[in-house]
Amino acid sequence: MTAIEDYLRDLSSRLHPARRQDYVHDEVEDHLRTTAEALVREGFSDADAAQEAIRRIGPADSLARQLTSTFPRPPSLLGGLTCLRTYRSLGYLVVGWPVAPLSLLTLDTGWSLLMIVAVVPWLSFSITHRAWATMEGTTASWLLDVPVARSGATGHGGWRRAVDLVGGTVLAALLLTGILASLVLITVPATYQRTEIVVAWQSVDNAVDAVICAAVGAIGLLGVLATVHRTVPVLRRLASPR
Amino acid sequence: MRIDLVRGSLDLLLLGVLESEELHGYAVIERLKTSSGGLFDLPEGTIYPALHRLEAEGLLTSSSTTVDGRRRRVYAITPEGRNARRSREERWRSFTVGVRRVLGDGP
Repeated sequence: MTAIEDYLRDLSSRLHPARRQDYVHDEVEDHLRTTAEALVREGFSDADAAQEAIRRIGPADSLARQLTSTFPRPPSLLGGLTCLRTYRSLGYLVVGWPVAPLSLLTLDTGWSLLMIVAVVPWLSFSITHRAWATMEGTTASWLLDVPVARSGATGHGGWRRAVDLVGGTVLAALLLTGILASLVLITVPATYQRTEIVVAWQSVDNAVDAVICAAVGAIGLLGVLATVHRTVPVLRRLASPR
Repeated sequence: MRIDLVRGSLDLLLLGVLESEELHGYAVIERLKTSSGGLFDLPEGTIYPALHRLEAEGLLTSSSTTVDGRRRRVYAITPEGRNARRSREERWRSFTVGVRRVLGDGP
């Protein structure tokens, strides 16, 4: 039944990745041959039965498109990156207290800059989310051998865009304040004035940080749970004997 | 029956067919056809993507066996699938009651 073999070859060539090609190939082959055998029992010739079986299951490109859309998606790296940010911010809180004021401000400025790069919308569209999408796609196809999301990977829903906008604005304000405070520290000569400015800055900064860390921590926890929830079935499926 | 009429209930139908026994794709299609009295003679290419999607959602699980020298994938419903079937059946029954009422055919 050359027609079936041709069909399967065509179907496999339209599927990515290789592991899923085998998964689909075996199943569709079984279906086509079982259908063809039933048709032969009904009186079809071998060649006609194969053609009819293929007609019934539909064109290879259509089937491949539908099957590819159902392939398991990799767990998003967003959850992992959010967790990393959580650890970084928590680490900053722990380490930030005992260090010297200037170092603290430097740390804070650097951290704010990183956060801005990570969440601010006009940057995220052009840099970070493209990078994340690429990382996710590369990891998916290379490590997990599952399909790459080619559309919508960088897209944001309305609420996420709003969160990005608010978060980006807050963090931009933090960054500017940090830079201004650093300039004041450098230019103000009196030690007592420096100390008062630093204490005032720290109290505001730490309060803002606490709120941000709590929010990011909650998101991070959700990210961990979502990642575990989505990873376990994928790993179980990959590990299961075919 | 037109596939677009069935599409909204396809998951429920597949879960229902697999509730009582494990079946491979071809058998699922045949079971749908025979148990509906020939009403659900659906395009075969629509069934496998639906089965794969339900498996990806954890509502079905599959295993591979060898029959007559060919690899065959057999699907079974999971406990989550049974719960999903029950809840979807309830929704579907509510939906049909609503449709009947609108059409002046119901209680």
